[in-house]
Amino acid sequence: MNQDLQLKLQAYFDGELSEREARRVADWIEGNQEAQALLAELRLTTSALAGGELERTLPESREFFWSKIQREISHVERLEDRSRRSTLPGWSRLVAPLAGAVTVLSLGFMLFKLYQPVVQDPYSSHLAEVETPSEHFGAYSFRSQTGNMFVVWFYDRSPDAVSQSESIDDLLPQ
Amino acid sequence: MAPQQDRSTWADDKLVKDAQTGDTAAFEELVVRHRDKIFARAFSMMRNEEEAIDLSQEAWVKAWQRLQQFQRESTFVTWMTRIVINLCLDQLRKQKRHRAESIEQMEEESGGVERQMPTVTVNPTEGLERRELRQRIDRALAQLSMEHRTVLILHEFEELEYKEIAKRMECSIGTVMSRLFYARRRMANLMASYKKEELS
Repeated sequence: MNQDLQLKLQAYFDGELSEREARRVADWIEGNQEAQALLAELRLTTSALAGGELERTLPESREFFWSKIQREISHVERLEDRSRRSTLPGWSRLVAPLAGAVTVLSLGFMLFKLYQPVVQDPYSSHLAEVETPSEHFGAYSFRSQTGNMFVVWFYDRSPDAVSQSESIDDLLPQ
Repeated sequence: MAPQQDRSTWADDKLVKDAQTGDTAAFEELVVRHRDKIFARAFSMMRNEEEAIDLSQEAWVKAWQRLQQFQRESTFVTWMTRIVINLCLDQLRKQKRHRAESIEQMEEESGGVERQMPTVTVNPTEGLERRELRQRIDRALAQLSMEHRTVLILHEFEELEYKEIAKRMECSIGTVMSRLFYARRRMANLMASYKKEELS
């Protein structure tokens, strides 16, 4: 008898076959002496094992064994307690990382502003009227950092001269 | 001080119910009541007293942690036994990684050896008292490899189906079937040889 047939016979004995398959195996067993002998052996073994495991006594006293279990239970419960207490509420778990991110960004921005090279609008100017003691002429100073120049513009203060002049704005590069 | 209650006469169900509310005294009574059986099962699987004690202890601690999950679909002792079996299986898997197989075990694993064993026709347990029978079963179990012993215990003592055994042992159903077949044939031949020893 090959192994497949032996295992099928065992599965039949253990009730693991479908009804149809079980009927086919039952028919085969009926006409096969070797199968019948093997089935009988399986029955003997199973009925012997039904006698059960050997009873054994745990070789530690009741108090000692229980004290070990109790100690371990307390230890496990302390660990669970500790982990419960250290767990922040859901929303607050976001606060710390968010605060940290905001702090880092702020610092970064401040540093950036501090060390940022001064980039001027090419047309930026510092136009200021220079106080002159004379009533006949005035002066404007014009400073351009990008142009790296400082210009002083003297003008005629007389009423006639001012009305004809271009506006200062017009003088600025467009 | 209120007198301590004598829980030794209480049914398991009542003790479990109380233990589920946090009553450790009720749980202690369950431990006292069933510790030997749980230890015996662990020993059958591990064949080592120290390991069996440690695994039983671990099983009781796990049971306390999971007590709320016990829904009375089986008896408490059946539920406990499953916990200790799973712990034993985990331990055996760890050990297997570090253990070299003997030639005999390799022959068993490769299969075919069982076909050479003569068919046992005489009842090897006839006339034996219960204790003697259990001793012979235990002696024969010790002769099996870890895999064969485990599959036999799960099928014959735990009454698990092939599919469930395969799941717990993390192997195929085919492997379960061939291991179980080998284990049964070997048990039959061992017990027959013990009977022959007795008669000679």
